[in-house]
Amino acid sequence: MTESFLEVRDVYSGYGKIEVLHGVSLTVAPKEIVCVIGPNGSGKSTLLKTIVGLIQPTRGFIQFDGSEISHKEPEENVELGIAYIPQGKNIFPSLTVMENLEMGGISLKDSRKARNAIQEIWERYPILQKRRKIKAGSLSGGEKQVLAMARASILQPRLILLDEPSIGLAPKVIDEMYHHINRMNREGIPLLIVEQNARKALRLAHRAYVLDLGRNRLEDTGEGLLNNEEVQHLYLGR
Amino acid sequence: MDLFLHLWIMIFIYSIFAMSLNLEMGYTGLFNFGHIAFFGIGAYTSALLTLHQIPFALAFVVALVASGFFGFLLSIPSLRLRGDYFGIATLGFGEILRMVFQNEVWLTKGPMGLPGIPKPILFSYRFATLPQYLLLTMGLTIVTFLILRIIIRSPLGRTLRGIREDEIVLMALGKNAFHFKIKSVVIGSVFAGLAGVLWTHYTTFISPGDFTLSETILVLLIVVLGGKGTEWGPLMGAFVLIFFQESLRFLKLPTEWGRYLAPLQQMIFGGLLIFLMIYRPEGLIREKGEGR
Repeated sequence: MTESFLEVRDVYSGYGKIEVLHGVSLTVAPKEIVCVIGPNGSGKSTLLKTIVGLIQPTRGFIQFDGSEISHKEPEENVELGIAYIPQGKNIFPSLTVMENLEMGGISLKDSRKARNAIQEIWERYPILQKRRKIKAGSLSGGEKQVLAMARASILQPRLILLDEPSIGLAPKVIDEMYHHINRMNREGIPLLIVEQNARKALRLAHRAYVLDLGRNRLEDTGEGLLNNEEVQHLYLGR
Repeated sequence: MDLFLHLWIMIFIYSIFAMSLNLEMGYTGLFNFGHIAFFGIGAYTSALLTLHQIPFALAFVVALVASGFFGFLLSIPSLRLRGDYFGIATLGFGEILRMVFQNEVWLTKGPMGLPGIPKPILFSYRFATLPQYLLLTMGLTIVTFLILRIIIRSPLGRTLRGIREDEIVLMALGKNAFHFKIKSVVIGSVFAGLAGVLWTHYTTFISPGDFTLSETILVLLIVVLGGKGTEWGPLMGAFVLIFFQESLRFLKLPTEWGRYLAPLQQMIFGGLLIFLMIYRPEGLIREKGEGR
């Protein structure tokens, strides 16, 4: 871990007086998929929200591509190239698929760039082009998640934070989802994925962390955690 | 005939008022329960200025600026609140403003009200008769409709709908939701002020009693009945409700019925609101593209 693209060092964070993260550290190297697993309430989502700036950390240090972003606002972080895909309801249901994608490009100064990016998305996800005029709310769960990821890609992010991409999806759809995730990564985009569906995520991840009650518990390669007896017992239900 | 003209003038004024609320409530998802305050600011500003011999055109502009400015002032603290709490804060603001109108006697003459507000004169043309005034309100209704339509269909409008749908997702896409909510409230307030100006120069007499919560409820009902988040909904709602309200006034009912009729009307409005919420929450006109 000589060079880290994202570094989170001893971060404390939470909602108002309720502290959720009590000193969490992790790193993401360039082109790496890093996965964070842990039970409900372990602070996984809070961690991503803190990195992107929706919540400000009370203590600790976050660095992205060599500069500190501990207390930046979300729009600044987006401009730096951090894309955040929230969990579950992460699309605008009463806007059409097309409008949803256009929303992805609203912070781009150059509207031609956004249009080109949308063209590219049609090629990559033909299913979205077929559905471009219908309301995003009537897409299936998997299609919604694909839409959210496609929308995030319009900004050509340099890091993607993904919150439980498999939540509420059928196993087959989850496979498809992870296929898309893997493809994004092979194009060189590092991803930080938070998951409860630990097995799928660990198989794909280069490295992984286990979070428990707002603290780091374990850290290893994805493979390593997958074979770790404690993890198997606690999180993989074996 | 006069009744007919009066009816349409009121329908147009309330259409503007409702369209302004629709931008905030229908498109941005901000439940502003103090919207009458901006109607009142527009009304009082224009009334006071013209009563002090300031030309109407100037008073008109100042009134709109004042409404927008107060919208801006209110939105900074209140938009930091979420959902229902924003509603309560604006409700409070509406009532506070009515108290100001009532108690700052040096400025507003308090409960005595302001009589003799002059009819508007634009480019030395005086809109004095009913047909002339109808033309003025109709023209401004069309202008308001077109401006709001441009806003709604622009990227700004799409962003506002994004706020209504999911603020967090919007922020994750790199937009500062707070700034856009302020824009929505300021634009909404300016057009509410416009409705207030038109109304004040039409009735030529205003008093604090004209700016009560029940007016906010009426305009809320217009938006909900017509179909919130639609371009034509507020016009439709204003037509139906103002027609109903104003025609009661001309039914020539025995005067002793009056004291029953006024509360009865409120009851009907309240009942209608509940009925709509249960059976047709989308209103008369449905937002485009619902379902597949």
